[in-house]
Amino acid sequence: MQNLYLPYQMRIEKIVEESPEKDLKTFELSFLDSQDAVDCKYLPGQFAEVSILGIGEAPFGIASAPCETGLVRFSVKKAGLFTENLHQAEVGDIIGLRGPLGNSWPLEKLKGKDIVIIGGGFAFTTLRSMIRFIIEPKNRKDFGQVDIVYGNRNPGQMLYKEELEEWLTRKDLNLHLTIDKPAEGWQNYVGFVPQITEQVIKPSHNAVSLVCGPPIMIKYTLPVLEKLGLNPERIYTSLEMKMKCGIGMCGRCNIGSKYVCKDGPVFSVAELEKLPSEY
Amino acid sequence: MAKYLLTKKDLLIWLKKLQQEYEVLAPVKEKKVYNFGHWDGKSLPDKSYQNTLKPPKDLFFPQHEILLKYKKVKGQRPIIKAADLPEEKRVIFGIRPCDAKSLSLLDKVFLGEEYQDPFYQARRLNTLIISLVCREPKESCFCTQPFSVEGSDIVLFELNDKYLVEPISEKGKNCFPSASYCEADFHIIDKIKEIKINTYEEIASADLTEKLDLIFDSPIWKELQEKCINCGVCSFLCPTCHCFDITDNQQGSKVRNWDSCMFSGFTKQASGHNPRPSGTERLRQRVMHKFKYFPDKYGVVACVGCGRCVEKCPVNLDIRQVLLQIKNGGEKLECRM
Ligand SMILES: Cc1cc2nc3c(=O)[nH]c(=O)nc-3n(C[C@H](O)[C@H](O)[C@H](O)COP(=O)(O)OP(=O)(O)OC[C@H]3O[C@@H](n4cnc5c(N)ncnc54)[C@H](O)[C@@H]3O)c2cc1C
Ligand code: SF4
Ligand code: SF4
Ligand code: FES
Repeated sequence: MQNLYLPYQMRIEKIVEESPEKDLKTFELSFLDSQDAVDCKYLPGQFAEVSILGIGEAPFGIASAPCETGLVRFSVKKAGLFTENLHQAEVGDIIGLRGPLGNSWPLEKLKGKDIVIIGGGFAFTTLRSMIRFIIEPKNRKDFGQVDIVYGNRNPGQMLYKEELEEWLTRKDLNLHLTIDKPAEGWQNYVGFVPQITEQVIKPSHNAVSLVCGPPIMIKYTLPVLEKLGLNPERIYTSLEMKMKCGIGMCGRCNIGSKYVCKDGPVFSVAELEKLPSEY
Repeated sequence: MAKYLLTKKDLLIWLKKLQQEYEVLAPVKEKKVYNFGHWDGKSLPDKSYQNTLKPPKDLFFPQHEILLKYKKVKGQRPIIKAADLPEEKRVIFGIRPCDAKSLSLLDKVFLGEEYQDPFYQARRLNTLIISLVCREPKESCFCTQPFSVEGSDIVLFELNDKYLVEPISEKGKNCFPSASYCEADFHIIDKIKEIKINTYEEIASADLTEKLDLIFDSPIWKELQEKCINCGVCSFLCPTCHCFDITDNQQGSKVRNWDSCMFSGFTKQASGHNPRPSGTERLRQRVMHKFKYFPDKYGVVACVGCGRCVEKCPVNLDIRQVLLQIKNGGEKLECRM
């Protein structure tokens, strides 16, 4: 990248309304300049600063996978000024992307391992990127068994519904979808993520877990995973803090001596245990 | 390293010569306080100059800076351009060694291995730092290395009516016509050591960093912050505080402005959750960042002991007392004055 702050220019190719509440949209973006698509190399778990001129920038986990060449996808929940503006954008609009930023899911440590993926709500984005990466034919042999628990309050809030339908039929991963309360027509699990995890996950001794979701879900899921035999070195999660620069300079996103934007956002639970609980 | 003895006249001639090529900035007195400004080509700081009110950081990392400029064109792709890199060649003359050192600390942040801030980098490359060792410290100072050469290209010592010049960096050596002056002999170098600099006891030592490790959850922070009004003056005047915000303005620019960890919105997330919700966490962050987190990351404390925060805090929250109190396990202790 020439100047750290200069964004790639991206065209919105597709917008998917993800939930009936209309507060969650997935944006598929393409690069206006084809060289940028080559330069912008990212890994599952990384994030980027998305920008609208005159409005600002905000960080979002990259929901697409590197093998989906030429496009970058984000799923964005309406939360405030920037996200509301982004929700008003239309196909064809041009926005900015600065990144990729941060570390990624620990790919090297995942190679050859069974993978347990636990997600909740709209924080499923970078987990989806990871799963998509794993099932790419040329990568699949690098990973063992893949078990996934993905929970939501209700079926409507589930991200990437079509893709999940397809994943449910796949032989090379075990997807367990759950919702908090029974709903008409729902044929999968009912119950909170920690409960379902306890029921369906039987981790092998070499399994590694990736967990991402609302704080409350994380809080109750971690003890379950530990009970199932996963020690804190083998559980990873991705954190969110208020961010601006994304490159460890603006001093905003630290937890102790770690900058979440640069040293994270992915940390093992063992690493987090060593940090002050200020997040 | 070789040192050269210059008369006041020699010094002025040399600086004038530099001024032909560089914009020379020097401490300029205005309404009783000094700040860096255009050098008039004739005066040198007198005894009333102790240090500048504002730290030198804004000469490299301005309080307000345009990063990008853009133009939206209907129906077409917008034009986005990085702001031009500063090209002016400058000399900063008369900066104090503590402040020169602060630049080497900012370098760790802005000129990291992975990311380099292009604007900061351009200014650092284009600027020659000529520091001037203090004759005597201010009441509020607590640096422990008054002769520190870190961050300086050339260091100057005042000796009655003469100046001892020591080029430090390559850049410094290239800008100093050493052949024109005689090398100072040992007798004179010894004399510098006689300059009275009563350095303070090392407040920010290794055992402090260790201690900070243990007291994250101590009630001491709540007690310490009771006075603090979270005005942020300490961080704005601190030569090593580097927090900033990035926003879009309505005139087609993306801008960077200084920010402070002392402000409540600094870490507030969109969900409303704030990991540092009250003054207690924010004061802890400022102290921890300087004396624990920065050393963890870069191996050196992020305080040069310039005393600006001590002097300008509206409620007299004295960082030296804070540190001593922490070091002494929480007991209230009067700072040595
Ligand atoms: C690494 C990372 C990855 C992320 N990934 C995703 C993702 O994949 N998808 C996603 O949706 N989000 C993600 N987020 C979160 C996302 O960045 C935030 O939701 C986004 O920054 C919100 O920006 P905003 O401008 O819309 O909200 P803001 O306007 O910044 O904040 C909105 C909230 O703050 C309050 N507020 C605003 N201004 C003020 C004020 N002056 N005083 C008091 N309260 C105020 C509002 O009431 C509102 O509730 C991620 C964050 C990080 C750090
Ligand atoms: S200057 Fe003093 S009152 Fe203001 S934020 Fe700093 S410590 Fe608190
Ligand atoms: S913390 Fe205070 S004394 Fe230390 S460098 Fe900053 S302003 Fe100077
Ligand atoms: S977002 Fe600026 S330091 Fe992390």
